Amino acid sequence: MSSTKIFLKSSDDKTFEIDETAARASETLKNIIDGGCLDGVIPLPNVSSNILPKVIEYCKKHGGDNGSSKKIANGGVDKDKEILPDYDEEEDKREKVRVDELKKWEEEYMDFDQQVLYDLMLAANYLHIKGLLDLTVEKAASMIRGRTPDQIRENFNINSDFTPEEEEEMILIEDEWDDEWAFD
Amino acid sequence: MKLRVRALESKETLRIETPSPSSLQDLKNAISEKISSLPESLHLSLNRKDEIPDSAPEESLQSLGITSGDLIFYTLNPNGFSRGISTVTQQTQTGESSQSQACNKLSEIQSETLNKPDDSQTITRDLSSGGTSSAVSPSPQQEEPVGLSEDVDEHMNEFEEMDVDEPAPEITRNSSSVPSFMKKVFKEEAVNAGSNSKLLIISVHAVLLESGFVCLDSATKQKITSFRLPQGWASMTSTVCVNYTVPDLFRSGGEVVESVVLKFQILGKFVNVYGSLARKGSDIHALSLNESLFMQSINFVWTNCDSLGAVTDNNESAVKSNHEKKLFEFWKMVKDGLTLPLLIDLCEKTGLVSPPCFMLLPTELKILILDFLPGVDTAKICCICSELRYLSSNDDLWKQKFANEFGFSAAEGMRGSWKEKFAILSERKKRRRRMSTMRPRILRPYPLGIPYFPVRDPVPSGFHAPVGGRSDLLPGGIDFPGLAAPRLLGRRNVVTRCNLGGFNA
Repeated sequence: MSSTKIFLKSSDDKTFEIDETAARASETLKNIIDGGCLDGVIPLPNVSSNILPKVIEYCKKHGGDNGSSKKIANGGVDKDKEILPDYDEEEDKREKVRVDELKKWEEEYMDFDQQVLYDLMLAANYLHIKGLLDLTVEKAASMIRGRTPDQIRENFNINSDFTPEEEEEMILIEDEWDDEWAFD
Repeated sequence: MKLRVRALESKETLRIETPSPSSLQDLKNAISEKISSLPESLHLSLNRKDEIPDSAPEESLQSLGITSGDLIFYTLNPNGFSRGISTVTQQTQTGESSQSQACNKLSEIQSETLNKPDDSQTITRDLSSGGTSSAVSPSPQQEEPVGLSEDVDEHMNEFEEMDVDEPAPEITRNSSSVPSFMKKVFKEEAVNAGSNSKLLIISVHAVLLESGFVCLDSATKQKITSFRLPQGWASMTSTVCVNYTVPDLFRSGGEVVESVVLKFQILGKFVNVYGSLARKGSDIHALSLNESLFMQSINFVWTNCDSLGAVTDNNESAVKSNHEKKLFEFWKMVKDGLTLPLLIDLCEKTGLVSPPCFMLLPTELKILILDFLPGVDTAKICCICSELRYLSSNDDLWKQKFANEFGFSAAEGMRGSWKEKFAILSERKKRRRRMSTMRPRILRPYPLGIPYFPVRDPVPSGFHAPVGGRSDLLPGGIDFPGLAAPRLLGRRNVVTRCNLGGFNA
């Protein structure tokens, strides 16, 4: 596998190194590489040196094997079975182990505080790293699911800007939807 | 006083008990007895870089900053530690520059003492796979909290070596930097770390510093440049008050525009922390820290303050990574519950650029997050604030949610917006769920065709009308939503109202 090194410069002028194959996990970087605009160091004015290593870590894990992240996105290995009629059972097992291993890695990788979460989300969005964006957005969504509006406000430090009348109305709405799954 | 003594070269650890009070000479005698060598040829260090000066062998160990439980390094090599530092090492280590000197010294020592670099590499790998733990690796660069785990770390180190301009890497806000940053703060505050609750306060202080706050001396209104807490904080009884601000809020004349106050209240095993802005009133952010949850791990880091890469076997490294995980949990809790909200409040009130927070995400990302939510949670989002109400009432969003949960075909013959349709169908679904949760109750009495009367139930459930409608009259297992209507019809009206409410936005 080719291992051309690419240099990325963070917003605070620190340079990091990444393999070309890993960098291709990012659409933005891929376009820069393919466009031949590679001029030594790629400046990334929107990504700080706190977050860039974390992004590189993700790219290293996912770069070069774009297939695997797609498979996960498709809900595991079942889809492949349909596509390939002569599907090898051994291969299937190996794939499962790999997917499990990747899930475990993601779980550990995603263990950080909110500030890192937003920074990482913004970086993934800017660099067009679909998998990482999905991971971070999913984490944010998981912090909303099943919570009451008050809990969400507290969690995300959001101040309510409703008038007292609106506020009352909101409480009603909240109650109705709250009942929704009371019998779950 | 109980002390642990570790050989610099072989990393062998001995446990020694010296009479209290005892002098440096007593300690040397005790060690030389154990390792059978002359006390004169012993060289001791607290941080395995700088030798404890033997200019005053009669001075008590306490006065040298040694307390019970400390780890002390020794070597017989007269050049094993650097000399010529007359004060206790803790005090020499203020500021970044001396840190980096220390780091360089350390790397010299490392190159002399680590004659088996391969071994140390293996240890690093083992640790990395066990969790976030780069800080315990013996490599000198990783003493600075730059590291990420695994290969990124190696990667960065390679690069840092090339980077001639910045030999001392900056403190980066990164997960695995937690233990080593904490160690630095602990070292400076070591004198005050007398009790669990004080250690916990120092730990919170460390999180504040790492988040970009600087500590203010309440008496002089000056910023404290080291990692220390204000003078005399440890002598405050039950409540400890500390002021913090961010560097951007210092006016030219040294005046501070705004600051935040942290109040630590010690209640038995709990330390409650309340944080709010000092001048302009703001919400109080409270955090209750349970000593029994975190103290073990914090103590672990504290007692191992000076042993950077001293991991001898896998077992020890597993314990270490476990403690570091716990520590990171604490770190996250303080950051999300205290420092981030305070920083947001502070920046909002003073017009500074706020740290990234949910509401400051670009709209496209907020919408993307809404895409990931089930309909019920999206509906609740509209109760949070007007911007989110606007975003969460987008009809395309609801169209997609409807399709995901019910499929487009279900919308046939329905009128109104997609959110209304969604509300109607989810109401129906709820009704069905309600029916199905009741069914087992009706069926259970006759599993074998024999009526069953539970003794403790005043009304045997077979004849008891359960909550809701006339489902008791229905044969179990068949869904008759139409018949169960009387009570539920009312609810449907309620939902429609809710729907309209959501759309008035």
